[in-house]
Amino acid sequence: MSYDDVEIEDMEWNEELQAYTYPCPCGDLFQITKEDLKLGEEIARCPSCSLYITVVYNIEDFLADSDQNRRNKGIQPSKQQTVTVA
Amino acid sequence: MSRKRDRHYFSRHDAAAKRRRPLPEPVEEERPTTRPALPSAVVVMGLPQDCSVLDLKSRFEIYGAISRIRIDRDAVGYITYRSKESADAAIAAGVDPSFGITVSSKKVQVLWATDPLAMWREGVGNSKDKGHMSKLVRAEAPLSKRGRGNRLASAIGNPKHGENSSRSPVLEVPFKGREIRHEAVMEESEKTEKKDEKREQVVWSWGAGTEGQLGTKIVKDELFPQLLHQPSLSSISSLACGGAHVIALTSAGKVFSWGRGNSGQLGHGEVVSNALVPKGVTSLDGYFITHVAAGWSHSGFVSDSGCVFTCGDGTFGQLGHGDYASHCSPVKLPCFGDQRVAQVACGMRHSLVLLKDCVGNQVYGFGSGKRGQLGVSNDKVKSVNVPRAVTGFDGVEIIGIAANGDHSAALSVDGHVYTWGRGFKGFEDAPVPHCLNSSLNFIKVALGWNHALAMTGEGEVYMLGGNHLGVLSDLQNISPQAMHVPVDLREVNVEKVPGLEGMKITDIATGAEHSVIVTGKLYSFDNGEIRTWGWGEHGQLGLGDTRDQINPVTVNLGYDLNEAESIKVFCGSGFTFAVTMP
Repeated sequence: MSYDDVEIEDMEWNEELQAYTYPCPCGDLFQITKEDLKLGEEIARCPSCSLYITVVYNIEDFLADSDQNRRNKGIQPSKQQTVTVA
Repeated sequence: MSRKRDRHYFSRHDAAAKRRRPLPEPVEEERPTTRPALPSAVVVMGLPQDCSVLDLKSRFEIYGAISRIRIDRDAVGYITYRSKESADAAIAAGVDPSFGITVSSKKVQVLWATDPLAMWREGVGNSKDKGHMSKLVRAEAPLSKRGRGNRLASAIGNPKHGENSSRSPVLEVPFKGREIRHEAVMEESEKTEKKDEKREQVVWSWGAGTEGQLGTKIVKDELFPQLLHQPSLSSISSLACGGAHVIALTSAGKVFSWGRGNSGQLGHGEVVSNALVPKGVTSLDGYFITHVAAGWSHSGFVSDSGCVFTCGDGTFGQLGHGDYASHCSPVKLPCFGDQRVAQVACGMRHSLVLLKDCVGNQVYGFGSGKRGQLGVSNDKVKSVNVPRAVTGFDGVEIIGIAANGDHSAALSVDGHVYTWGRGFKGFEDAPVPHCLNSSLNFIKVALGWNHALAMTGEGEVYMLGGNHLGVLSDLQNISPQAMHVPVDLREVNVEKVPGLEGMKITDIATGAEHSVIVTGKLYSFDNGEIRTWGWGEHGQLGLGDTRDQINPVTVNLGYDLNEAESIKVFCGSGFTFAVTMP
């Protein structure tokens, strides 16, 4: 049973993991890669537990654009910003 | 009479000198590294890696009363018995060729602490660095002399078995007269102890631990409560547990934090993947902090002067500084002017602030508002990065706020609970606060990611998001009798937690998908039992397994509270803390 349905725009792009992520209730992150999305995969899994979420997205957004283009237009998931050292 | 009881600090103090000296505050940072081994001290080698102090204690107290026990990082246990005879018995049992002593079915070696091999181990363990670390990993369990806790545990461990010493606190020889006298002495000593002894604060943690959030200095999940004893945390007044980090507030208004720090949520002034040991948030040293909060990856702090600070992930505006920047040191929110802040609450991607002594706009929200969790408008609000007033509290005095997941809640002075944000199972999202339709007098509310607990002044606990039950297991597999009947048709979304009849609940806490309560029997001081239910995959229920529970189940802490103590519980997303309060 999918834990939740999450829109791709609510997921965050994680540079380090090279994946879109969303918080998992265990404390880790649900993850799905761009390659998975291009293949039509809609399940984002948590590496630490048995839970998974269903990602709601439009596959065309990932098939049509190259990575570079997509950053400038179309879907824009929130990106993690660098942390300011105060 | 403030003189504290004498205690044997096995292994580090000269016993004779110790006996005459009143014990200072329980700060034990500096200890002499050399000391004569006590004649009743033994060393246990080859313990299983997951052996806890309590495991060790319950196994070894069958040979007699233990005054001091600890386990070092390298899986070596140190036990001081009250009598030499008990230590003799343990040594004898250990060398018994046919049986020996096993701990969790692993055979262990028991040596006198004066044994050259043990001395060598001790020397290694006491090197400055290692000695310090070992304290943080498996700290010493201070065992009170003939305390209630000790006696209770002794009863479980069957102290009569294998006990030959007539000086033992539990007599087995049929000497009636003497036995009675002995009991009387024990009771006397107990009374004195209760009056005189201010017990050290005890902290346990369990559940998801792969980010160091349990404070055990080990990055792994723990299925059983782990006893922590950390000098820097000797006076915790409150904890705030987030996605995978913990903020501890001490009674002196100081703040410590540990766990995941990759977004700056620890406030240490640097981004670290995780911190395994508590570290002070030194940039707040100039303030007396009175309230702390931890969200998924951000944190909030309130000072006694009414200032609020935030740090961590700011991607959704949840830090409230007018931008989407993240900060790794707490940054003060300037926008409340001379209005003083009472509380802050942090959810997954949003924050709430409660002002004190103010009429009108008391509650503010900022961060992600997609599910209505900000409560600032009936219109869709994607996110705001400066605090905006929460609507719908005209003429209502709010005394408490809570945030978790995409939920928000507030508690009014007249006992009403208001919720907004993501709808609980079967309900739509609420963009502005809704008062819970209930005549009950609530005094505390705790939010999960899909459920909420609310505690009444009478010590009853109700759950919101009833269909979900805070349980992730397949609902089809749950037996029909486990589905609870609503207490009132008007309160279809509020259900009384079953199985707690006759209990007065004294504290509640909720993780993302689990619930924790502290129970006590009505009309009795015998409180302090912890019960948990919900999702258990990471051991967050503390029951020794990874199963889910649909009804409250008692957690065995192996500890008996004295009358002056109470227990407070705190939950992060997938982990749990319990702390004794004097």
